[in-house]
Amino acid sequence: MAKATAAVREKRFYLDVKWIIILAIVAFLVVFEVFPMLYLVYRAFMSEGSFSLEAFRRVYTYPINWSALKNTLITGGLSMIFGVMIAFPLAWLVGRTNLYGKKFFRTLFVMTYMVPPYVGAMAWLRLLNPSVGNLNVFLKNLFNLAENPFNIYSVGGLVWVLTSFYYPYAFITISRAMEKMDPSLEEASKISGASPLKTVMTVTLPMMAPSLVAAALLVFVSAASCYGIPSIIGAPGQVHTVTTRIIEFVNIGSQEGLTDATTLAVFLMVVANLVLYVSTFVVGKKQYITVSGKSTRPNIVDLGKWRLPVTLLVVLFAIIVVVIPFATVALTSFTVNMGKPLLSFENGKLITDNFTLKFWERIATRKAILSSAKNSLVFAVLAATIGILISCVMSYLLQRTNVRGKSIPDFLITVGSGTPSVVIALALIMTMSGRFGINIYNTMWIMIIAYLIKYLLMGMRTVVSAMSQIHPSLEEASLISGGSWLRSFKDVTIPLIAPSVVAGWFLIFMPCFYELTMSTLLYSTDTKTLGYELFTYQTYHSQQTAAALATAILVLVVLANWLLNKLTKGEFSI
Amino acid sequence: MSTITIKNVTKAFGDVVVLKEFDQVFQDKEFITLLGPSGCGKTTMLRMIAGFEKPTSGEISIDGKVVSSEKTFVPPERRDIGMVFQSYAVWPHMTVFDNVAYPLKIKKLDKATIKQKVEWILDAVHLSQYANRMPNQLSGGQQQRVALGRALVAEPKLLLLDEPLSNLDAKLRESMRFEIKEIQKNFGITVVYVTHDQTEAMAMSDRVIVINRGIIQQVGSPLEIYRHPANQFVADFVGKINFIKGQVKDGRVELTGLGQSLAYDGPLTGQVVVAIRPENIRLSLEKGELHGKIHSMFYLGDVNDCRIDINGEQVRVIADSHSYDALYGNEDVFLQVREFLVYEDDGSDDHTKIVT
Repeated sequence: MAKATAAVREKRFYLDVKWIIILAIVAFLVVFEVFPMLYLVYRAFMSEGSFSLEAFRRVYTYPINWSALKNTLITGGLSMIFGVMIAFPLAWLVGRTNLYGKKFFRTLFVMTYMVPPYVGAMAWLRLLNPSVGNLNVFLKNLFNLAENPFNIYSVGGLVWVLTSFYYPYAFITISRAMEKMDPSLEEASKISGASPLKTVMTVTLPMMAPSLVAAALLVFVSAASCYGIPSIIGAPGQVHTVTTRIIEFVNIGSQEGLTDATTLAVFLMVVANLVLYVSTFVVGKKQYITVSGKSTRPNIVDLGKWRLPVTLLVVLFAIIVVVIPFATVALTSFTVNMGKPLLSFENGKLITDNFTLKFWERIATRKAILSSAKNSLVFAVLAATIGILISCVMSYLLQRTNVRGKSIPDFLITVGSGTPSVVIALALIMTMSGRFGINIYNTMWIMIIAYLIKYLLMGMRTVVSAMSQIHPSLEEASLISGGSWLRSFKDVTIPLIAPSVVAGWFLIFMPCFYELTMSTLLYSTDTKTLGYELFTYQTYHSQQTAAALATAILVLVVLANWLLNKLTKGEFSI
Repeated sequence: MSTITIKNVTKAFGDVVVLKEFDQVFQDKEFITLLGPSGCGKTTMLRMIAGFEKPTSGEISIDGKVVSSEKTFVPPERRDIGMVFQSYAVWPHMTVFDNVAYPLKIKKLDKATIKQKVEWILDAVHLSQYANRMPNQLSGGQQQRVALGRALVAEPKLLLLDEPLSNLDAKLRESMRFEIKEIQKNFGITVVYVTHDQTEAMAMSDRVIVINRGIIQQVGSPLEIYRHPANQFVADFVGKINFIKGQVKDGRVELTGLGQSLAYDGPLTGQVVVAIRPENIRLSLEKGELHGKIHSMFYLGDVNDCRIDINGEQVRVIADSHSYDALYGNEDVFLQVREFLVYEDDGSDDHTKIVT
């Protein structure tokens, strides 16, 4: 009898550890994610102390807000359409044809995913400025035009930059789906007599449809909730979006300003969560899981005589979308007078007057920049480390246990990641400045928490997918040897998933390190970040200094990618 | 009419040669099985007939029409072939009916004809009541029949099967063997079947082609490859076998490790390997060519699977199941060898060695 009770107690305790961990994660998410977001909705409707649509009336009757709303939907929608139109053929060419340099292109396109979007805005600003844009002037002279062909300070300009920075999101999603598809499904169509085109239309595309929709929605939400690009490109041309309006309202600083920001944020939140709902629960359910019996090489389509021309087209695309903008930013950081070329020839002599290292010197010596860089590093390391710990435990709970309620934190983490950064930051400001007993405003913790809510999912997905590859019997063998589950986790699971843990850490670290949107809203004098510093220099002080910072970040992204590749023995790169 | 002529076909992926000199003619209405261990090149050969791979050299013709050579290449969609894939490759976004109707829709037949033909084929593969189901509502065996129906509906003269039964459970696998054979007879088509399961090959084929490491080891009827395997690899891969080293001397072959001998009047001399199938040995308490001690016995219901210890070496014997009651462990027994094979010994212990 006594023995049986002991066994039961032991079993209870065994479950309790998991429960405590789940409860801790859920409590964290409820306090810092669910409650703030609900409060945001509450605030929007209860601005007068009782239920009222007054705030909505005020905000949405203001024409500038209407146009912001319209611009957000238009730029988001168009970026989505163009993004998928670019990503699908690229993913197909890189994944399923004998394109030259496939591997290189793949790395190149995936890596742009890790570049902060505002870098693109900075580059295109210089290239397509309506009066002095380098590319504009070049094209004008080349084709003998009366005036400069492009104006970046427009809705069209915004769509262009958003598309060129968010298509990698679709590219990654679509590539993955293509890789997972059993090639014999297409072979079966061919042997049935269908031409390659017919096979694409009747088998490949329908099978890919759910992933295409998911990719499109991802681009839409990312573009619509982007702040860096519209604030750099939209502001000079009076092209407003919901995100830029929200931050302007917050910067007014008054209660009314906050209420107006809240009301706009609720719109963005509803759009984002609706999209998240559709892509996870409606489209996600339709996902055709096709696991092939044995691993066959995917069908490689021979491009034949088109191989070279198509490759050249992809090269051209890469030059326009990747090389030119990055080179522009890098060159800007060495330029004294941006109205003049960096190097020029006069009477056969190289003129280097316009070349300078002073901006690089500045970012390496100026105290404010260095302390912001240090802040960013500390915040990002903390966020990534806490995040990866939660990811490991969560993936264990999700993949290995049947504990009830394990999907609650998973759901909340997914929602958090799908919520626009502006909304997360605003919600935290409203609730975490002492009104409800917690005051972490103006501390680094509010930023770390915001980063975690936004980027935790990236780490978790990586670890979960690694965990699903490891057969449970490996851990069961440790349990049967007498190890507790925490012990088994540490001794067996962690070493096996180590490469993915490293990759997941980087996936959280990188976006936190150069984060702009949330930092802009949450910083205080002591907690300025690199993204904020860069943005201030770009908008107010010196574009060259901003360019030097951006180039430094780019170099870091490449280095991090290389390091990750080394650490995981080639298994992962960003 | 569907004759396949494969002339000096080789295939290499980069530097890796997967198939060396394949030279065969498959006759009309013949059931041909490509048999071999995984990675031997059999699937590659099948995929070259289908047109999913191009031969590195050589020529393939179907019905006298060249489909693959250095100059010509007919893509799979214009070869009029039916094929069943190992993973079935049933399209998850189409109903059973639509899956099976697909080849007919490609041929642009009218709706009534399509309906009639699909119903006829679904009946043939026993899926009539599942026409409107989605593939994820079907069991593995049913999906496999959908794949078979889709491969047959356009009435191809040639059907290719790539390990179609390997994902099914044992019982279903056995009944499907006979169904496939039945369908082949009724439709009067040529079948090329790829498998690594020798029982499947034996049960269905007119001719079996045994392949190892990209080289044809033997071509023959199931009986020929079982009773007269061309080399040690085939003897070992098809069925069970004991290999015993020996030496031919004065009309006998001495089994070196066993210290005993068997009568032999064959052509080989010197060092040899004697191969005896375990079911070709009968155990007796009275007399036999060899004698030893029972080391172990396993009662398997239909047979008694024994190991006999002869001078420290073990010989496997598959005896009549009733012998399990008559014998006991460590008992002295005689072995009556009804049939054995003798191969030249090239000095290596590797039974899977290849003949080049």
